[in-house]
Amino acid sequence: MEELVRSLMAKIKTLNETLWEQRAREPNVNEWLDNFAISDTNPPDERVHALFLLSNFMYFGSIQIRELLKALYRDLYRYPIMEGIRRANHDTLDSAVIGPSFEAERRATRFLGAGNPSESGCHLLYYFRQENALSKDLFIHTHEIFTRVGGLGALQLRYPNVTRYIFIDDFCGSGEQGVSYLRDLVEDIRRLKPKVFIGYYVLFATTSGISRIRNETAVNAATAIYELDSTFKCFSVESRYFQAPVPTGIDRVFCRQMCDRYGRTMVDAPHVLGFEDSELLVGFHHNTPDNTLPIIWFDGAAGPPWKPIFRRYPKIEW
Amino acid sequence: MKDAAQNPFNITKAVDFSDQEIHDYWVDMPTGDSFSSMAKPTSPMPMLIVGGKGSGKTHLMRYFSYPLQRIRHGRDLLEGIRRDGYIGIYLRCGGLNSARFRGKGQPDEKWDDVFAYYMELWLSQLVLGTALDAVGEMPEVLSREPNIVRDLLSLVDLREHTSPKSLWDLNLLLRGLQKELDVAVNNSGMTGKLPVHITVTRGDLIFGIPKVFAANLSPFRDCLFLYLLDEFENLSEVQQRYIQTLIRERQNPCSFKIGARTYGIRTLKTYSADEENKEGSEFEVLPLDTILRANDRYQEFAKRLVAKRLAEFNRVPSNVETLNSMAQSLDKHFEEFEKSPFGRSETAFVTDKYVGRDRPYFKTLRQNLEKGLDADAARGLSVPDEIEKAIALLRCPEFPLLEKVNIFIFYREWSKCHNLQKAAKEIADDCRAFLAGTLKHGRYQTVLEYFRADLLAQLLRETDQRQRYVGLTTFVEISSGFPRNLLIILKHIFAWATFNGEFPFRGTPISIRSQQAGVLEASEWFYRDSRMIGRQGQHVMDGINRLGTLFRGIRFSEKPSECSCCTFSSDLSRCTDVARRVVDLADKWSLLINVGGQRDRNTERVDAKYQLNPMLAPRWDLAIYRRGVLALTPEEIDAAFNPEHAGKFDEFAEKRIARMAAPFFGHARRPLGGLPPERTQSLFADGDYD
Amino acid sequence: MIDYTLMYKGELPVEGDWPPAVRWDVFVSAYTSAERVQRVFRKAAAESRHWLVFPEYGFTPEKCPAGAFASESRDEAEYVRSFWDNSIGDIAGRTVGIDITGFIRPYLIFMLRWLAQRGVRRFDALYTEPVIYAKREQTQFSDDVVVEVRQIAGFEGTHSPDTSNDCLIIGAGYDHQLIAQVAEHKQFSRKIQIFGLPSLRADMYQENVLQAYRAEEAVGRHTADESNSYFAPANDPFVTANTLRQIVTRIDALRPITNLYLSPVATKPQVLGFALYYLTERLNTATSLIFPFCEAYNPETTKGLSRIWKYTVELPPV
Repeated sequence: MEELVRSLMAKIKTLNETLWEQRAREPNVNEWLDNFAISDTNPPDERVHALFLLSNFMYFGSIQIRELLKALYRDLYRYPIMEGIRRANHDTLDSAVIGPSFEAERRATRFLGAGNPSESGCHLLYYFRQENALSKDLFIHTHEIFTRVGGLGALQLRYPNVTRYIFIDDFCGSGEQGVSYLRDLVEDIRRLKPKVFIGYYVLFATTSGISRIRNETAVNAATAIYELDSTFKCFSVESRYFQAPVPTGIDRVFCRQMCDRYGRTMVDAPHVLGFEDSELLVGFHHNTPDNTLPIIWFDGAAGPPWKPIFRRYPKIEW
Repeated sequence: MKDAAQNPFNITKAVDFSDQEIHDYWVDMPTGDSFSSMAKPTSPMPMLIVGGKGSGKTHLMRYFSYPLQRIRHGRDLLEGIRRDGYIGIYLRCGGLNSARFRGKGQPDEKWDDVFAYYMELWLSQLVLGTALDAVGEMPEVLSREPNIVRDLLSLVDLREHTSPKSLWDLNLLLRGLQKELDVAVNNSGMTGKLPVHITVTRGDLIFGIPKVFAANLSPFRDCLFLYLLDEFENLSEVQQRYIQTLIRERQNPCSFKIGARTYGIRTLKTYSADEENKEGSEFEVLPLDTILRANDRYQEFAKRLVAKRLAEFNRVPSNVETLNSMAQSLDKHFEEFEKSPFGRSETAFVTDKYVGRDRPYFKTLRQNLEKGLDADAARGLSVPDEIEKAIALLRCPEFPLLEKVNIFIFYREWSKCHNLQKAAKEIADDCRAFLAGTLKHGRYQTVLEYFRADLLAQLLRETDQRQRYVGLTTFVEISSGFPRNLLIILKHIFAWATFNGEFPFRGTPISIRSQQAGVLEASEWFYRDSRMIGRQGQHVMDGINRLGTLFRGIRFSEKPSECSCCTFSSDLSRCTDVARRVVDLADKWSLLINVGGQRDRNTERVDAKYQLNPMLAPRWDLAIYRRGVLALTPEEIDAAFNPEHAGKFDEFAEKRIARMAAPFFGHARRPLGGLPPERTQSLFADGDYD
Repeated sequence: MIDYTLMYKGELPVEGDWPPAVRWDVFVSAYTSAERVQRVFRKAAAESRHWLVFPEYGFTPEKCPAGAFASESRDEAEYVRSFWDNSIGDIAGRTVGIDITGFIRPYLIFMLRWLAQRGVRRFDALYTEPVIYAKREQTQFSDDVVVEVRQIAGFEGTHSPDTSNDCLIIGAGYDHQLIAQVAEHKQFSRKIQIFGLPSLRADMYQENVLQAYRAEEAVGRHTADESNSYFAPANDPFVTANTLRQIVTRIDALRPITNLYLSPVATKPQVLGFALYYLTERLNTATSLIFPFCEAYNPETTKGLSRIWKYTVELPPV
């Protein structure tokens, strides 16, 4: 067991030095482990299981998030347009032909954040714009999509020449928020301009979440850079964290029970193991989604005293 | 996220240093032989600078190279070179990418010629470029240039190429010829053809350019043109043969220093009438890490290296005096175990952990005695009560270390089939007298002196503690003449200390646990890094693993036959060829360190002695300091290092360790029970303590 | 200056038929035990289909598919030349498709040179992914015994004796031994690692960094600071090629590179990108592709087929 703890700590140290932006030094880790009970003599041990979970945590820091934002623009937005231009022009590779066409398409695009301006999807827009050297004019708020005829009349599109509306988001968990934000909005836009392209591009999404967006809204495309399937659900049978070989002394069922027990003191069902019991182990430089197990991010503000290891910045419901 | 940049030991390879950094971080030996006197840059006699990874070989060679001369001498460059007496032309053999000079459907002889020609073009570009950089602006050059160019061109078969008018143009011509050759070689893989026109006779430019420069330009008049060929191991055997030929056919004013890893010298043969170069006549050898290891100022040198590193990192100026005082005060940055009489505070963990409980070594002893009693193999004890009495005599609760000494001697007596009651009583008397300071020097002191480290190690193991590799002096010792290994250990320790929330080198000493974690990680790195290129790597690692396991078995047995067992000796001439080769490889790759024995350069070793590289010690919880030497038979060496004999190894090892294990100590048991007669002198040597 | 990211790429359906336009005159694949390699071979529509059997996989003749090309030669030039002369012959006017999934990298790399030399200006490369990668961060692809590090035939360059600003760019995969060996071989060079981000799965980037950390002593650290962090998608040869160009331009601008060494020891699509960049921009310069050659490779017994990528590579005239 000691050997296991040693190797888990060494792994965390490596992660801390390379990717975790120094957020998990040993004193921080120990402080977090103190939240858990020490077992008397016999395993299974809560702290060892907590450490095991932590060693499997996926963290994307500032540099990585920026890179993913670059990928989002380049691979999800730009490439399909380029491909279309090439195919419409006898597969040309001539930038003198492609360049202006793409520029025209881009000018007719507007990028928006999915959700409330203060939510993390919007927060990233700034970096998205920076990393991809885009003009400010291409970015609008939701309310700027429409305008009223004569200021009070029927709804119309403020920029009738816009052919693409691209919604950017960082994380799509259950899809609940995405659907509620997009469904009516997309319908309204389509009614006014049926052939407009509306895309929802997100950095991380669960398979079920992104499917909901596709099925329950009229977007043309809903794509994630990273899709998290059921193997990312921590305690599922297919969980990638508990595939053989699992270290001796680590038990998936015990681990789940432990997280469930603590989770109950932190959030209400059915979010005890992360929002809608997503059971995820993921965090970012700017946010730890509440789909991640609460034991990771809960900060004791409204509940039992608890020191998080990767704190979250909660959405505040007014 | 800038953590890595904040670790002062982060750059540990010479090759990651810029020229300026080599200059800034340079540390020489404290007194006596400086590196200059060792490397003899002005000696015309060629030299092989040989060393394992991390011995500082490249560092040393670069120090003598022209770019470093330029930094050292600044504005007085030419005067500086004149005073130096040499100009260093540095070449990395790896840059030739010479693996491509083979196969591709061409005969070997053709490749020999191609390689020789390629070297000629390569080296001449280097020497020409270097010389021009040094003197290019001089008026003397401009006036003598036509002569020089003419003399040099007489050595080159220009054919259709335009005659260069200046030295710069000549250099460009050489570059062009090299490129032509490159293209021809590279395409031959696809075309199956290799059209080559050799424009220079081998050696003509390599020796000719320096000659012409020396004859025509005053700064080079008495200057040695020193070709520093590094990474020699990157050349194949035939390619090395060519270089050996150059060495043999060396002409003034040139000389060579060849930098090679210990495993990297593939041949000493030449193309000069198939003669072989001999140490002492055609070249001398500087075995760098061996020399460092043997140098009694190595500890001091190493600590100055560390001090220099910290000074540069903290941008603190350092001259020789400040460096010395910094070096001397480094130890205090590392937490160590308190020294106390009879190891009382060092073994406090035992007294603390086992309050009111039987200590583990007594538990084991009791079990052994019970077994011995049952098998009638415990002379002098006939009933269980007597076991307790004997044990009670061996106790000395305040000093667990002395208890271990007592038990050790007791096991020794047992292995000699002595009367155990008597033995226990004598030991108890000795122990009392020793504590009182009245014991005359004898076996008690000897055991404590020689086996202290082992007994402490056993205590640690028996109580589930980590072994102790702690303190800067220990780390220097572990590095064994390889400065880079020291820096790597410190790098890992620094990283662990930072991770653990400490502030290394800024006040409070680095904790013991950070040191231990760092050493362990460095040791793991070393083990991993020692994988070599090629299949033989596996055989070597297997052999090392067997050896390590054996040493560990001995160290933690009841009655270790050798103290601080990490060294073995054997008459290798009686082993199989394969085993000998594998041992030799392990030596060349510095997994084993040759520490003595009679060595005759021109014949086979007779009795070799090797220590397991201390960097590997933490892997098997072994000692760092060399003391006892385990004499292995040729069969045992074969079993350890020859894969065909490996099946026998476990048996050999078990047999050896059985001799150290209670209750039988390897004695054959009689059919009707009982022991062989009491012996006054054990059949089994108790090891020779170096 | 060509924009590699304009080249066509996309996915082919895993289940169901491929579009009828997706067919070739000549289809080549490298035989392994992986289910997906065999499935794609069966699905591929071509006039002639060819299996290549590489000696490093250790397949006995009974285990090889009928009609497969096998040779004991481990010289990539000899092997490819021999295969081509025996089985393909004149390629003028014929279309080529290659499943790169099972290829051992040096053979693949040389194949590209060979195709370019034969006047092939465009071909399709397929790359497939399994459902799960065995053993996550412990996955071993080579047997770790590196026989030698050397240049790949056809990618040898004309190097300079001035080695004062040599640069080695490594496409860093999981096999840290390979990374360390390459880095050791070109000790005296500035070393840059390109990591796969976006990675093939969300957790693979972090695992990749963890593995590569074990080579840190030889190669330095990827995430030490922003100016050293380079990324290219694990599944995109074209962005990889673009990224290489960006890196080289950037370093060259600070101080001219004396010798450039490229070593792709990561995913096959990245390998493709490295080779493409070299052929398009670095032929006949002081640049080589170098590689740590192993004696044996694990012929992979992964199950399932989750994605099929198709890349249309446009080769330059050489």
